[in-house]
Amino acid sequence: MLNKKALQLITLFLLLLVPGIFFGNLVLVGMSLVPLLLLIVGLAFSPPRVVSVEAIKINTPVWAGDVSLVTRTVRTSAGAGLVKIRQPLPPEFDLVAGSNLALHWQWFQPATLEINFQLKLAKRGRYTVPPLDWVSLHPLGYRAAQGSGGNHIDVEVWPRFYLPKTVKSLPGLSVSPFPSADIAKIGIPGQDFREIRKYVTGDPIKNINWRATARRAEQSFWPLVNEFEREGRKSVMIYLHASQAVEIGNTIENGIESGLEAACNLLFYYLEKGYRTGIYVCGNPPRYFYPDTGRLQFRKVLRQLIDLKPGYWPKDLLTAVELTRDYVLGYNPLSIVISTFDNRSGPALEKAVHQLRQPSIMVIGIDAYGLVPQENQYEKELLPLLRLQNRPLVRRLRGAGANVIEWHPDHESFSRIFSRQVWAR
Amino acid sequence: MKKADRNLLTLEAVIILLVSLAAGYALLDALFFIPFLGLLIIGIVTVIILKNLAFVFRIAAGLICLPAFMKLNNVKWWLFSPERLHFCPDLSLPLAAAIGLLVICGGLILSSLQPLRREVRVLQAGQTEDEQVRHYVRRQNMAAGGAVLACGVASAAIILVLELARRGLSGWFRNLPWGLPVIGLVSLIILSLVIFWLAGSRHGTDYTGD
Repeated sequence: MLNKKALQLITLFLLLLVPGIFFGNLVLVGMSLVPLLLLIVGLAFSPPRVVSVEAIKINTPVWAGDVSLVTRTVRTSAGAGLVKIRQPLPPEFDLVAGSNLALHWQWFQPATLEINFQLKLAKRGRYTVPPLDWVSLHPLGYRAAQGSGGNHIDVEVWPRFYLPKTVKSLPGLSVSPFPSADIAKIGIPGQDFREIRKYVTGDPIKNINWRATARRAEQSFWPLVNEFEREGRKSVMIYLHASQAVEIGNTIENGIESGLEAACNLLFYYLEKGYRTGIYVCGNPPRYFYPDTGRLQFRKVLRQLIDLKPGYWPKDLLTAVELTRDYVLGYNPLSIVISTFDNRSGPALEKAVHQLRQPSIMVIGIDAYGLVPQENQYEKELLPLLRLQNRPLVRRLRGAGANVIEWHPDHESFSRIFSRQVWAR
Repeated sequence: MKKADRNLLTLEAVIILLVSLAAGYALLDALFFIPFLGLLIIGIVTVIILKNLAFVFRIAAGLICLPAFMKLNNVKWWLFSPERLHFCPDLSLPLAAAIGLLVICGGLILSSLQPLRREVRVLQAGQTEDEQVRHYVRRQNMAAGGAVLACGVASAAIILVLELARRGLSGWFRNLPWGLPVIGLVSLIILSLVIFWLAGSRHGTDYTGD
């Protein structure tokens, strides 16, 4: 199709030709021929088009922080002009090497182009990499074509967790990371009835007690499930504070992402050890995974954590403690609270620790200030002051009997601080 | 400023300079520097500083040349009589054609350089490698500049042929009935308008970069 530029040439031709003929002026007639000839020459050939785009595949699931190589091969039709190809990417993906944009100028012959780039899948979540966009331009700019081609790719990025083997294989060197009570048991639940409780995500449908549910239908239409005593080992309850108050840092790395990393590591560690481990995620919506054993529990939790969105209020942490009170009183698990130590989340964290009233409470305090981009000297100087401001809270938590672990995700991996805890004492 | 952008700027400055010189000479001969300086300022302001008003410079250059070209009219009209246009130099047809073609070719190249500069800025702001951008600018300039110059040369050849055939054609025209040239001219205009309308009805999309 002709564009504005071609129409401008036709207009120029007529503007010069008509007076040229009217006055019998050869110079004007000659000048009018330049745009006319240019238009005729230009319209004699077409810009190239993209005829095929080879499909690509990213093996999923991938872990946050992994780097994937992406290659797109594009074939163009005959034609002269510029072909511009661009692979749009979700904003959470970092381009580590190569370029997702390529320009190619071709003179009539069809061509095969290839773009290679490496993507760092920086943040957990479910993403779609859209098809490749292309634009081709006529060499004189009279025509343009555009389109998209190739497949779209669904990528599932799981939260980071990497506990070194040294940590995984150290069962008894420390006192602090392990629960003191020994009530929960590994394997299939036994025959001994323990209690009836409310249904939570992940409970088998066969455990629903339909009669009890029907009896209480007038009060609350929420299924009730039978809980049986289990044999074996200890129990762990993790509280992940994931409200907006914790979202300190940048889009990719912030308190919530660091908290998720810590939660995944702890969950994996304790489940691998055979502990009955559950997690309450104070996000939006809040999610409670009743303590259970095995890798299935880990995968079940991980799938839900991919889509975690921050909750609105820090006090959700208190709601979490309230909702899990029965379990905590019954099983006396190791309670682990993962949160930040700033002014907004601090009061809720302190109250939660007091309400838990457990002999074994671990608080993972994420110091996410280092993840905030520091533009100038003043902002750099602000960090020690903010940290200083949080010291009284840490002292109070320790005074309440909690084992407080401070983690600086900007310069230390969680596995390192956790392994320090395991080796301690 | 990146190299590709600097090259485009230099090219624009050279074209503005040449067109201004030619147009200034066509208007006032020995006093050419007066219109030259005026046109140069217009060119720098509209093309280099404001960046998207190249058409103002093209129209100004065309209008400045027009009186000199009007002296070469075969059909004499009182408004463009040699007496009224005595301030202009008497250009020979080859010189007038050379100036006219320089002005129109310069204007057309300028009109292709402006969107190119915009696109280069967009590309440079993105993730395109500098080498790719330079390569693109070089090829684009080769294509546009080559096509415009080739069309200019072809037009010059056509003017030459028409000039050579003019005298013979005038005698031939004189023997024709008076209505025939008029009808021919009107037909040509109608044909041009039809072409214009057809092209307009196929108005396409403009590509403006990212």
